[in-house]
Amino acid sequence: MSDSRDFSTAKARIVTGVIAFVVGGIYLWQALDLPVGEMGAPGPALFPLFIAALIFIAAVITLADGYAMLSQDETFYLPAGKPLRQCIAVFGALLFLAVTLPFLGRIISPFVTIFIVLASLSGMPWWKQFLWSAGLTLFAWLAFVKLLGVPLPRGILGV
Amino acid sequence: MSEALQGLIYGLGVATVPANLLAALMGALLGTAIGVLPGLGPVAGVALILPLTFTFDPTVGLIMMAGIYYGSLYGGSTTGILINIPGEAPSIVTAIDGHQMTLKGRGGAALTLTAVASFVGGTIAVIGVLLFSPVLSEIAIVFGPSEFFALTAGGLLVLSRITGGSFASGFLPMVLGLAMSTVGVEAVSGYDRFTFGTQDLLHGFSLVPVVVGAFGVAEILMMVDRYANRIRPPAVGWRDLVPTREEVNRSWLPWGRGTIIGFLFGLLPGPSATMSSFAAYRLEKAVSKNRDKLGTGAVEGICGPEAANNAAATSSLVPLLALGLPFSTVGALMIAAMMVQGIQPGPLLLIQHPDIFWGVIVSCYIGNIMLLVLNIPMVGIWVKMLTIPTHILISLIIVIASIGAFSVHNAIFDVWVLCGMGLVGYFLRKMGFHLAPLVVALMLGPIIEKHFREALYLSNGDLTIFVESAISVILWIVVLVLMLTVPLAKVWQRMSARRGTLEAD
Repeated sequence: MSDSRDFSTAKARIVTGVIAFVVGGIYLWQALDLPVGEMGAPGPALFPLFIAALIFIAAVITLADGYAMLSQDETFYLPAGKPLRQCIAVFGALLFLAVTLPFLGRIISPFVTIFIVLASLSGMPWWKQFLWSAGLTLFAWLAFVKLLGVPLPRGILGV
Repeated sequence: MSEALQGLIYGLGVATVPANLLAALMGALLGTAIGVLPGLGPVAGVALILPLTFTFDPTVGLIMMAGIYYGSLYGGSTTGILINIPGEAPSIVTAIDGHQMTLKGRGGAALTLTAVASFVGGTIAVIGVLLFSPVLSEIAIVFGPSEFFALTAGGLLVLSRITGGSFASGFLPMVLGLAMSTVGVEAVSGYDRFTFGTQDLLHGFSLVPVVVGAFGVAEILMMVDRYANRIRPPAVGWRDLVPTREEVNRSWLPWGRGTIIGFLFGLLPGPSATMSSFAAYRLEKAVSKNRDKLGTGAVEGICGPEAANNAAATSSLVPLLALGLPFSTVGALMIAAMMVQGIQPGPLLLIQHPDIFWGVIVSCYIGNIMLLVLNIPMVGIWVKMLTIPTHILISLIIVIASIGAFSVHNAIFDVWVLCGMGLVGYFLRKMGFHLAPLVVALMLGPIIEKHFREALYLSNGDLTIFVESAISVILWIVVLVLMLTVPLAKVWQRMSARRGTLEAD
């Protein structure tokens, strides 16, 4: 299996333009709920309404850009196969940290996160991954919690 | 002139306080390490330091942030020269001739000449900043809301246009950044905007998780998807570090030319360090005596661009300190550091906080000396850092990035923003969009809105206020010219190419 897949930049830009339209629509819908005020005494909606207009203009420009690029062969690659699995694992580890930090706390959550990254990227034996994870977690704890006093959550186990 | 001299003496007093000296040293060393190591660029590096600076005195924090910025520019060229992998965008040009010199066994000399070039560029730019900033501050005091609106909105538009690629490549991220800047409690009326009823969004999007996500996490994902091949750097001995007399003689003029170009680019909105290094290389190709040798390992190819990018990094402090306007991502972070500490950036900074104004400028000079003195003997250590396995770096960066994002408001929501911006940044970069306008717009958005609304209040809703004063008109004309320069140049190139084809036929 190949390590990457090529995608058309033009088509990706067209999709981005469409997404920008949707985002602009939601933004405008929310902005219209705010008081506009008058030109001499502008309310909190006035500036967002200008930005909503800019989002629609940006969407049109991005779509036009995409259509103009259709005749070119420009592509970008996204990972496939093993690199894709590694990317998912690394991003999954980050999400794991975001989800578990409040209840697993400042030691267990970073430890597992580091272990997941090492397991997916390093090819080390498991005990080396364990030792590295412990060492790096200790480093992060010393630097941020002890030295800089960042109040990271303790979690349900109190550590 | 005398004000600059008095400022220099006062700044020396501030910058040589032990805490500030330590901040400059730490900044320079950390910055070099960030530049050398893959995964964290100067922007993400400075963003991670930002929440930590809240506990320091503002001058200490800003000096450290500035040190990280110019230190990382130096570190980025080390990897470019030795293994042809530039750590940062401004070092791409340095890698062309620098790596060729390494292949010829002159890598050590290239590193020394690069360090001296950074020192020369940084030092002369500091003198320019000393002379220029107070003058600009005095002019800016007479600016009203319409002039500031022209400066901020126009500067942002120019930034989105000149960051490279098509118009959409910078414009869409810029608009996205502006939209994000309106989320949260509105400053004047206290209305909640775009919070969808959630408490977490009340304080809006913080700069740190957005920047670290868009630059740091996205870069990590990029590293993972091209993880396969790592190159071992060559060993560099002490003797290799000494350049020959001919190499030094050939470096003087490129150092000077690069410094002037870099200083001028630093005053403009945009990625000035990158643009100036490319411009300096082009200039060397046009005027250097040895222009035929450029690309094959010529010292002119490293000395001009390196002096330029360091001078640009330093002179970008002029709009930042004199006007309070961040026209680069690192500038936006430095403004954020001031605002969190209750310091209002802008033309009055010179009067209200001269310690910050002069201390930061002079510390740049001291930091550059530290870089020169420390980095040449420490080349071996920086090279050794390149042998740290990528998976160790990635796992550590993920944890540091998350804790850094968390520590801004001690809120897990910011870690979620980090994750979201990581994905958005990864895909936008893959598709060729530029993220600097997004970050600068997030920072400038509230400033633009403030001046926009103030101008409307003052004029009772008369829109002509935005083009009433001569300063506003001149600023908008400059914006228009800069916006039209790129497309017109492209049309001109296309017409010239077509004419050439017709003549050949």
